[in-house]
Amino acid sequence: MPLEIRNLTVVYNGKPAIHNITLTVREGVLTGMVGPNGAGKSTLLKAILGLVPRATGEVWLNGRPMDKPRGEIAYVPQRGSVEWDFPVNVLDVVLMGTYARLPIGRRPGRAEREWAMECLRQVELEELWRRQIGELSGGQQQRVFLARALAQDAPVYLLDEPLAGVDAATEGVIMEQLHRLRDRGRIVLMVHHDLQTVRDCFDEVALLNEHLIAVGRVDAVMTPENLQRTYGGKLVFLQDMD
Amino acid sequence: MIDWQSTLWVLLAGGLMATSCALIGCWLLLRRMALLGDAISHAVLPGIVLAFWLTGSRATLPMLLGAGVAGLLSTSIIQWLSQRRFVQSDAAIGITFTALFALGVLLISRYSGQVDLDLDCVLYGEIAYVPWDLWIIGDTVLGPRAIWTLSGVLLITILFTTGLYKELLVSTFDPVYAQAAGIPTRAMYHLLMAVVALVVVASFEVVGAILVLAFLVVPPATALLISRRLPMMILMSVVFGWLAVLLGYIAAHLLNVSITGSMATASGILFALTLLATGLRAGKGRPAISAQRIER
Repeated sequence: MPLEIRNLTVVYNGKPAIHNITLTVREGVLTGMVGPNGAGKSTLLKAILGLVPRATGEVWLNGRPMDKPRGEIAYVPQRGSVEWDFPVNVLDVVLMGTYARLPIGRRPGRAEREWAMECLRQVELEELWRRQIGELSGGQQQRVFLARALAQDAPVYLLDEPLAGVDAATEGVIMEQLHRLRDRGRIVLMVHHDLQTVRDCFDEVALLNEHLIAVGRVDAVMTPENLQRTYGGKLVFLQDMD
Repeated sequence: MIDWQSTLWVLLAGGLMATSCALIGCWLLLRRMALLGDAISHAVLPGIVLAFWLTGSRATLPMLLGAGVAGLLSTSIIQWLSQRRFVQSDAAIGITFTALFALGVLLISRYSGQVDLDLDCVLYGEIAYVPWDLWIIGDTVLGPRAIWTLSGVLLITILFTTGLYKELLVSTFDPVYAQAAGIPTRAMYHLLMAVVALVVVASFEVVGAILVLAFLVVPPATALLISRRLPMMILMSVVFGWLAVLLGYIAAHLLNVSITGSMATASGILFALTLLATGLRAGKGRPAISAQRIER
């Protein structure tokens, strides 16, 4: 069952940050979302999560409206959203992915630790499990966040620019895991910053600039006209892309 | 001649207080909310005065209730002011606690003629009196009242911080992820504030409102300098808290100075020594305090 976003509007300080977004994200399809800075990409993710108030609109999952997620959505925030000198190690952070499934007051046990180690293995960080998270490189930190989302084992994955500023090895690991999630029938929506790599990364793409400009197969959407409408005059060089 | 029994009671009271403060202070520090402890410790004053005025006694329970209500009220006001973005969250803290504290001072000065409650005892406390304020039921002497109060508060603090450890951890480290994962971060915030209010109020009698701040902030900050994981930080902040109590007590006797002041000073000296011992390593400490996380 898809994730359906219906007429979603978010207002910041009297001005709409995203306006009347209707978008269906299907399982088994890797969906990207691009748009200029300030287009409301992160805001849309947060509105789906119910973390910012919605002025209008609804989010439906599995045929039911969803106000606040209760673990159905694994969210990978931007790396800058936490303090990396926090006194936790890599495994501690990945274990947080199991919290959504545990009842209140129950701590993760041996089974959860083994599962978290397995998720670390998938992002190729198992040898660093005891490292304090501040001692990791930016790419490794991003992989820790992905491993935490994998540990949550949710039907929906929302990722906020996981490839921003990471090394090539990390990019490879992240995309491989996202393809695996897609092939296992998960719903995957990822905010992306780099137009040049959209074709390599995604099956479908949504262009956002406060409004939803276009959504669909990458080839059908990434036309000069659509990009012009999304980015305005800032992007003339895109003519050369093909 | 040293009165060993009194000495032990004083040290035990200080240690119990330091333990509660350390357990809860670690979370405040990691949330960049260390000063909120200070704010609560001041904002509870009008609650204490009103409770005293209503019941006419200095019994612990009404005082705790009055202070608890005022403490929760202050955190709600702070949260409301900063969430609606009327003012910045640090300004919200400053406005709320000074206003409530001033109200408390007004109330005390208005009724000081009629009541036996003075600013000194509320603000500074006096740990040396602990052995003499006994809890007596019928003919049975149950020991110092403060020991019972502090033990009860410590028990609640331990139950809270261990029982809801994983919820506290994730909502402190990454509140946005925690909310997305369905962790009740808002409820955790209010529970944490309630326990902070409880710890602060219970520590009044022992060290007074102002010095509570030293034990809420300094031992956890010292522990963070040398800890890489949270369980170690919590353990070490308890150890530093007890050390400050013990060393402060000894110093107070040797130098013939105020016991509570000496204990707080000892905690500061322990911090300075730890900082020196870690070689003043740049980058190990945390960046300057911001209060942005309060609304979460």
